[in-house]
Amino acid sequence: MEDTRLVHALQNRQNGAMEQFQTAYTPLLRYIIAPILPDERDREECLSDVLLRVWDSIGAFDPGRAALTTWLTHLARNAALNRRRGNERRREGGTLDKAMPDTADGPEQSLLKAEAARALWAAVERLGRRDRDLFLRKYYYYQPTAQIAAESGMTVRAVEGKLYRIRKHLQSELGGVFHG
Amino acid sequence: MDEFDRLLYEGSAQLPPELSELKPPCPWKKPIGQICWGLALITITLNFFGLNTILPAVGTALLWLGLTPLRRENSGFRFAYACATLYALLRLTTVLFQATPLDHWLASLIGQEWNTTTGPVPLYDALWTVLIQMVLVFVVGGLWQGLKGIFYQAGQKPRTAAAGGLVILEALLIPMALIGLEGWLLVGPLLILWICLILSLRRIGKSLDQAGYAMKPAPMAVSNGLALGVWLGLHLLIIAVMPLLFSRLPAGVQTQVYGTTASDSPLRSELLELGFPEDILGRLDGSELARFEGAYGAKKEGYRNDESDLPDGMPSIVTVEVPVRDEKYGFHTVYLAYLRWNPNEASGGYMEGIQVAQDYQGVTAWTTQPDGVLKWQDSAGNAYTTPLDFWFDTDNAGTPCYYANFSLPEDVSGPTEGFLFWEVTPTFPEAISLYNFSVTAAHKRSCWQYPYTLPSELLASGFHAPSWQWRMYQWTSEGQLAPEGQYDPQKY
Repeated sequence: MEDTRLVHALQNRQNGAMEQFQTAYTPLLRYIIAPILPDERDREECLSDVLLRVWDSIGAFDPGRAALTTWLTHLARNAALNRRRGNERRREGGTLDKAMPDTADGPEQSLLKAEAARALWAAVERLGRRDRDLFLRKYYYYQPTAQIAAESGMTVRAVEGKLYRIRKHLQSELGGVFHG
Repeated sequence: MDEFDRLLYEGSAQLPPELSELKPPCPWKKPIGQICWGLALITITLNFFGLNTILPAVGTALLWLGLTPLRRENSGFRFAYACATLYALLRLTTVLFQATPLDHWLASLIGQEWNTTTGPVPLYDALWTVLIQMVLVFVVGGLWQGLKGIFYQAGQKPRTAAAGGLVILEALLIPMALIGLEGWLLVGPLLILWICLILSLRRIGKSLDQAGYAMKPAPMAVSNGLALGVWLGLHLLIIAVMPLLFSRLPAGVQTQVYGTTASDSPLRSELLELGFPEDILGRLDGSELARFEGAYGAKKEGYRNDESDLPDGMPSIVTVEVPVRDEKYGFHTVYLAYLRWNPNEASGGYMEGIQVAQDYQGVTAWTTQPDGVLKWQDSAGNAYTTPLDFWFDTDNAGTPCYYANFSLPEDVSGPTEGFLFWEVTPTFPEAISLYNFSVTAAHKRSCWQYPYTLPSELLASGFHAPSWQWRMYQWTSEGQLAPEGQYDPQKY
């Protein structure tokens, strides 16, 4: 079934629409969730959350604004990241993963972070297509280097080298905004 | 993870609106794209600028590279990967064989021919083509099953009809190659098939839009760029270097000649009186001279060029026709073609070929296979001879011809001369009949050529304008088969 027809069927709560959606898009949702959540049980729970959220918010989805896969990707990624942050918070006495952004920022800090994020994305936009894809796979989708290498037809060392050069480039571009 | 890394992760969490159209990465996109391009490049045949070698080589590499990360996915892909590896090896072997005389050697070892609509081809070529195409069919078959496996893995109904169609199309190419289809009426359907192939390749990629996320490509030991570079480099090395090792043909048995050639004899005087060219006569030994016993006429055509003003490596050609009395048949005519290669450093001396074509339409005659010999002196002044081995075959137009391939000796101090003798006996010796023949020499000017081609193959394909690799020179003579008393060398 085409995306638009499937969305329409979901929005009209047609019988079997959700089953069809699950069959078609569960592989994509799993693909997005897996690198962010290392634990298999977490992944399954997160997948259930995402499917529930799709059912609840499909009415708000506008096929004219974004592709269904793009919308689902954001939904799955955000759900997985929130679960990961929640897990980190629940881990009393455990070490916090510094990669996870702190959500308890004040308004001023939030503003600064938004400013830094805008500068980062502007710099990412200026990267070449391949470098941008690598950056997004690593820092947006949280994909491990081995996965990036296999899917891009490169060796792990080659990916590491490219990512190193991308980071150096961004570091020099964002020197005034990011203080790494 | 350092501080900058943390900041990058943190910054990446906030996607700006302009990137809201960002599509998720596709794990199948690269390998399936490579497989599709690989199959397309393998199937395309463009016979110019060496693209008939380059495109399949790139296509084979892409096919293999595309299947490498999928090899652990399921048994279908594993089979396809194994077949793609075998296919790549066979392709490389083909290039190696075509760069060396191995191809010709294997063709002559098998010997038999396969008849296609465009003419007979060596059975070896037909078998090799079938083998390679069959392996490719297995690759596509494995790909089809592998894709099916991906759909099952994703819990979806397989949408792999395009890949199935591709198997049929690739399999269809086997009988097509064996039949040897040609002409627009046949090429038209082929073109349609080709378009179907491209469309089905596109559909293969599309059909994975949802199930493809179930794929987990395996890591690569080397990057695609390096693998492709090494593969193409290997091809380049074989094509560039191997032909250099086989730029000359193996020398035949060389016999040193002691003493001079024919001394004064009544036959020699008779031949001179009949108009036999004296300079050529002086170069014949006793056994060669004896061929003209009973001569009652002589006709010389062509010219001898002692100057080095002939193009590089081209011989001057003189033909002599001598009818001789024959107790059994009344008479037969002895033909001598004299070829003279002036020493010329620029000639290179790589490969030479001679074709003797005969045309005696409306007349039946019995002809012998030419007996050929090369004569020369080395830098120390020693005289040598080596036989030229002729064999019979038709040219591409079906004309009966005799061929010989050889390389000129390297250590020479003067001209190298070639003497070809053959005899023609008409079935109606009472009548005068026309006997036309041509002697064509081919000279390979460059030490490199790909694919490896023998001068006889070029000669059989027709007369060619000079190129940087080859030169050809042809002398056509009009002869007559006439009994004694009726032979008139001035008549024709």
